[in-house]
Amino acid sequence: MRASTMATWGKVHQVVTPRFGRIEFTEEEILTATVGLFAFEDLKQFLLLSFPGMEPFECLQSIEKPEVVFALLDPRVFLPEYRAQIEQEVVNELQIENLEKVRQLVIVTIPSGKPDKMTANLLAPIVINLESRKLKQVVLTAPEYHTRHSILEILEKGLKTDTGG
Amino acid sequence: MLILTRKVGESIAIGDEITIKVLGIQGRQVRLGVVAPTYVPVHREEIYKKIQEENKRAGNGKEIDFEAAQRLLNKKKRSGE
Repeated sequence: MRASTMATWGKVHQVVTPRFGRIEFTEEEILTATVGLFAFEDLKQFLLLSFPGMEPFECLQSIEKPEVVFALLDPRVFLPEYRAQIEQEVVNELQIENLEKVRQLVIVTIPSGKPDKMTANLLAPIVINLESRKLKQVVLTAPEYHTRHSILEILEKGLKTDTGG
Repeated sequence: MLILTRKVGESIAIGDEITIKVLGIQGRQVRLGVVAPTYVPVHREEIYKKIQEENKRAGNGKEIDFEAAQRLLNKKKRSGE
């Protein structure tokens, strides 16, 4: 399975993951965390993957520790008004020049056996600059966001009545 | 634990890159200003812990049932339209 179709780029590396099996990638496809994700500070290298049949979900797959993979969603899929303020510090850190090349994705927790309980962490989204290939998990200061919003409840009733943790 | 007494306007230096200044005190609340390099994340501890805990729950990718989550999400989205 390939992370992208850019097969003509540099040397092909591979990682064997428990979830997806063998994934091939080139160095150009690697995303580097400027500061590791919370609780995973040692992990710096990731791949952003999307597979047919999984849309709109994407995954952030660790290269260094293949058993670590996060489900991601573009928050606008379930909350069109979601906006993550990108601080100047983050602009500098991720070398952001073109906002159109920046993706903001949120980590989704899909509990084993209870996918209906899936929640999104709207407080700490992942900001990815596709140009510099750098990413960071940022913490927003907006008081309405926390780490465990029920996605299905938001789709049903909106953010206001969401009762997630 | 090192315990220091500071007045409003005074600071504590940690190494040569981190400074914590007492900006003000109001009742039981203390306002602190922190100067630190960008590679040192600074957060309220309870928020830091909540995000760590949630990442640990989310990052156990072997178990993630993307297919079931996708079905539920798309079904709910269609019913909402």
